[in-house]
Amino acid sequence: PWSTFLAFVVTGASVVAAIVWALLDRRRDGRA
Amino acid sequence: MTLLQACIAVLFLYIGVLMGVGIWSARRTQSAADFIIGGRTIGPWVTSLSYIAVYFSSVLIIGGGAFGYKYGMATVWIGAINVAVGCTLCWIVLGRRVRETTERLGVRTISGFFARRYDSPAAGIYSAAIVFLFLIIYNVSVVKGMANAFQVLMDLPYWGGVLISGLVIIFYVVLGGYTAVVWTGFLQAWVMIFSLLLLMFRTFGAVGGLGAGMERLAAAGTAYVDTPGVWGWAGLFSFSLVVSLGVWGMPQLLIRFYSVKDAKTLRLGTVIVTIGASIAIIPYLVGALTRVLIPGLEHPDLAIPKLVALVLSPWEAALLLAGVVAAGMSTFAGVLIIISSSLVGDIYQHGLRRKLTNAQEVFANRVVSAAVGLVSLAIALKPPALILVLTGFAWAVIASTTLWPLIFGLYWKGAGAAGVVTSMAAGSLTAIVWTWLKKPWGVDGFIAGALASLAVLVLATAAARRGPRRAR
Repeated sequence: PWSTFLAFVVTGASVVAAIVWALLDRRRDGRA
Repeated sequence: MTLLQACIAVLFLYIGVLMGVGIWSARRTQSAADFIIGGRTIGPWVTSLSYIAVYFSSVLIIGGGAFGYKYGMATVWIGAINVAVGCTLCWIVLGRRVRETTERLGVRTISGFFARRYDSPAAGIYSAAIVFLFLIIYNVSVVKGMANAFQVLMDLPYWGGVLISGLVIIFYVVLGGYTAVVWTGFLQAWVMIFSLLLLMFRTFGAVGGLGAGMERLAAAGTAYVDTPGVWGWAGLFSFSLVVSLGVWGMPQLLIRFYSVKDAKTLRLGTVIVTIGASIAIIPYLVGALTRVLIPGLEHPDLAIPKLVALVLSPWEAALLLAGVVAAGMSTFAGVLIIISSSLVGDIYQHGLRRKLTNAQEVFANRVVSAAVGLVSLAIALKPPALILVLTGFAWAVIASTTLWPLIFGLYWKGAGAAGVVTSMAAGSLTAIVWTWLKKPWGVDGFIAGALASLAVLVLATAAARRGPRRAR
């Protein structure tokens, strides 16, 4: 059911969020 | 090859490797900073994977499977929230700040942070006392979970599981300190990841593929596949929040942030920890599918052991046992070193203002971690009724005490010493009383305690900021 499958989507989104944050953090450090 | 022989062979090899890591780490442990935080030299892979190893104990695997069996597939949300809130968000919000602030203040423990950041020795001592007392109780429950796993997976008597696992941990923690804790945690995380993935794919095979398994599970009752399913929204999400937001205040996990080499390490670490922690979903997933293979189990705690006996070969089952034991051992070891540093560093040296030389501090930490480890094992062998009751409190009490003072201390320059000890006391006492009252309205003690702590901290800080201005 979509209500349960969403848990896997949230996990995948966490991985994407971690990668995006790491790249943004690196860019911010590069500017500093 | 029988299951017992395979288990013995795998365990011997595994224990040998752990003791080897302990001896290797001992040669790298010269100073007190080495013993307590690995000299702030730990890289991203070891930091992230040892975070996972300390976060998840044997209870996640056996208990998570039991939850999945009892409440159905909706419990995969617990694993998903563990990843999103307990790992990714925690690393992004706390990681860098904790690393930079603890180095600037020159502190090595969470209680040291409170004492220095709030300029309040009382906050340091109160939080160290809570950490010391309740982490010992938490560790007793970790050993119990591990020995129970030995019992159900290998038919080893309970006392045998307590002694084998406990003595090996004490050996490598006393010798190698934090370096041994993170490197054994790193290895143990890999064992957990491989054994859980193996169990997942074997279970999919046994039910005829995931799609077919879900169809058969829905036939047993749609509540077993829907969210929130059997448990209901309040129960499912309040539990998920407790085991995910609670870790933000747990010193054995926060130490990963101040022991890393530099703040940059946390970038790659955040990605690794998110991917690695995704294994937290597996016990719930296979536990729910076990209902298809073995319907009508009276004790849900037997879901994973019965599933293992059904779908894994003896060697594979031995690997899974190693994974379950690894989950427990790494948690016990990570907690043991925190208990030791809170007694030697925070209570004895800073609280009682006793001076120790570097060599004396290393020696004292070794003696204390051995003594506390042995006492925990002795309690676990025959736990008094009160200790058993308190194990349900430990997580909630520690997290309620430390969570808000930590976040305020990192993010709000205006937060001062006013009210910080009162806030900690309000958090821990509310968590204790709330749990004692059997969690009114189904709300966990951690949520009640954390709210009380937050309210006191906000009011006290606001009052303190207004006070001097009026006087002027």
